[in-house]
Amino acid sequence: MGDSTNLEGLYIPAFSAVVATSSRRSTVCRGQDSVTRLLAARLLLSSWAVLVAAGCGSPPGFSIDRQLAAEAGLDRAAAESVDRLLTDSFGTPDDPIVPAALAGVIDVERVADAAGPVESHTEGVTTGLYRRHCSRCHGLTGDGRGAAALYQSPYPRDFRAGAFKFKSTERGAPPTDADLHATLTRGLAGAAMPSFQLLKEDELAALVDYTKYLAVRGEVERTLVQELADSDPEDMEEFADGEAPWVALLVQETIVQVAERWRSAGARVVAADEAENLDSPDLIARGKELFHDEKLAGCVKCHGEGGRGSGVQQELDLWNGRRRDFLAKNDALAASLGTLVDRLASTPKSSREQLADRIARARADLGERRSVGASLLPPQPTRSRVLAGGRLRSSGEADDLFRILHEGIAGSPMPAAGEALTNEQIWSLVAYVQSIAMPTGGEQP
Amino acid sequence: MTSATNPTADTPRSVHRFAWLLCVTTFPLLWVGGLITTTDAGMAVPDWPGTYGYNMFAYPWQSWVFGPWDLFIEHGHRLLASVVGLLAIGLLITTLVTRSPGWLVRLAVVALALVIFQGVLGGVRVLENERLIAMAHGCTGPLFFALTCSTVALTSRPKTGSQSGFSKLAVLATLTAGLAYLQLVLGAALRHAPAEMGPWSFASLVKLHLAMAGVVTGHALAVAWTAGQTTGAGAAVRWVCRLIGGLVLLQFSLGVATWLVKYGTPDWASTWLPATMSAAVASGLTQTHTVTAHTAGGSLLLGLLTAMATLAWRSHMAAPSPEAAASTAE
Repeated sequence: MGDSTNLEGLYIPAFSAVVATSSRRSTVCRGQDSVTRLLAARLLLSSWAVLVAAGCGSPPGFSIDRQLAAEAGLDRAAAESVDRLLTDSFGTPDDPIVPAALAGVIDVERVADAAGPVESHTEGVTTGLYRRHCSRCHGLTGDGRGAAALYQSPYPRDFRAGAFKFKSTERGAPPTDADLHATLTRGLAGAAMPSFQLLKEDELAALVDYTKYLAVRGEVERTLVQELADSDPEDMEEFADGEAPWVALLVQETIVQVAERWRSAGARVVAADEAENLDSPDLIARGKELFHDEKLAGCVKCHGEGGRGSGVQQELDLWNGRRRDFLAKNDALAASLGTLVDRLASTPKSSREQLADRIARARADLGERRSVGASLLPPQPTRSRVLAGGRLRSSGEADDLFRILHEGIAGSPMPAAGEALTNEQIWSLVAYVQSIAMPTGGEQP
Repeated sequence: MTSATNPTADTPRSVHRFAWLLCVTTFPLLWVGGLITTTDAGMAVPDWPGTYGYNMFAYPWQSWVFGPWDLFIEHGHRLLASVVGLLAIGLLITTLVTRSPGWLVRLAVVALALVIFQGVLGGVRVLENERLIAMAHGCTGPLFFALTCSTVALTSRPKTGSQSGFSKLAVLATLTAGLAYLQLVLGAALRHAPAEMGPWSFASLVKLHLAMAGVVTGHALAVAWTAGQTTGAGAAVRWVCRLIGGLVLLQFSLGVATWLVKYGTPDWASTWLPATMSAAVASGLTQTHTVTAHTAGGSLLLGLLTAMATLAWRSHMAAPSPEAAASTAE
């Protein structure tokens, strides 16, 4: 970006002024912030604050999943403790740490290449790859709440939930490196996720490892929060304090458990090596019959007659379902708070104080939950993919389709057929879907 | 020799040609700058004013031409910017050598100062690795381009013959140029959104940018229509008027395409596009040049509106006052 002239004598004063301005950034920003409060137009105000904030921030950090903490009923001290312990173990987006237990699962050097601001210190070698290619949509912390997330359909993936849709492993297992690599290079047709086929192999590998780093961190956070939610108040207090030896031990054990899950992902790849003669009209006809059989495979219920449907599904995916449930619970809590308040007037004096305390606690809890709810992306309907003539989101290769049918799509309403159908039946469905969908390997735009 | 104070008077042809050269060299520079932001290649070279420790002009051309893409465009941007800087110096020298009027010399000085400031902004953006400065750099470039467009318009041969009704066009074109610049700043804020920005803040910017797109389109079409209705409008005004009309519509389409190739279809429009579309290729030709064309189109629109405003103000100033016109008629 550096337009340059060769007039050093002329640019030095201006250069100094700009540098001085830059170093005084925080002070200036605070001043501007107070001025903007006076502006009447709310929209303009928020946009301006956004611009100002761009230069005011401290180094970015991870922060606890507030929805998760609120769902688990964690108090502020416990939530802060989780945050602190995770920062000790995993570092920050600018300065990540890969815990030793993850050796062989996540490469430290690759994570370092993907983390931090976009920079280049050697010709052709760029670091900060995650921020360069991913954070605009997936968010700096991988929470799926990047700047551009709100208007995307589907929303960008929240890596912290640990669920990945397109993979070769069992439904509940993490993806393999090859799965993540394939999604990066192929992109997801019909979604905002582009193909990163132009990136170098080492850059793709760095992004794969950084994605795993975010997912593992999220999984450790989720496990810890759930452990705390199930613990008694005394343990919660000790955890919030963070000094008790068992707290550090719990964090380490959790990391080891999660690391083991990721390490064993390769062993949980679904075998799909029986495909033969998928062009056979008989096999396709059997697949078509199964596809339209509402009782057996039931594909037609979501994908429509001949795979031409693109209906909105009643069931939401994992991420949107959680948001919907959270917001619904907020409404229920508000209603129950209203009932308590109504009851207060008719409560005998002796127990009124107790009820007032309960109302105050419920109000505080609801206030926190509402604040979290306001920060969530609105639940988005789940749409089934048009199969007839359409481009599939997966690679469309026979073995990929077999695995998707066998295990379903993790996090989505697409169910696993592996229990209900035989492998032969699944292969016939693969043959039918391939016969109606757009051939794989079509032209890229 | 031309008048020392009257900007409506004829100016030396060599200055006009030099102004054109500066203007047409600046536009590719803006395009390359836009390309750098689109592909986030602004930090491909970590130092400034040198390039990887070399004097910028001594950097081995093989490393540049056959090197990685982001290094190629970033270093290329620096070299092209140097050419523009030298041309700005050349314009100033030409105005002095041809003994151009004082206002024109001062204009050339302002252009040179602005291009130096812009160069420093670009340098500081690299040294500080600061997106806010990158945004300021991205907003100053179009301002310089608009100045070069204005200089071309000011140094063109004034239209002779009866001219009237230019005041309305001048005010409208100036207002529209201001709105177009505001729209450009909003676009720059979207492109340079910091990694920490939340979806609601970004959405506010998107809504503002969309609302402003409607306002600018309406105003730009009004400028084109008003220019077409103005009595005595010269060939230059008619040309600029056609270009503005066409460009503003193209720019609207490019804006939609930019969103689609970057962020896909929003949920409410998810069934509008065929299911046969494949995923966009990040940093591929389609994505990169669609987005860059939209940003460059914004700068071009600003430049054309500025040129239109300049021509209209000049014609307005050259037109006889109503009293003078009445006395001439008598």
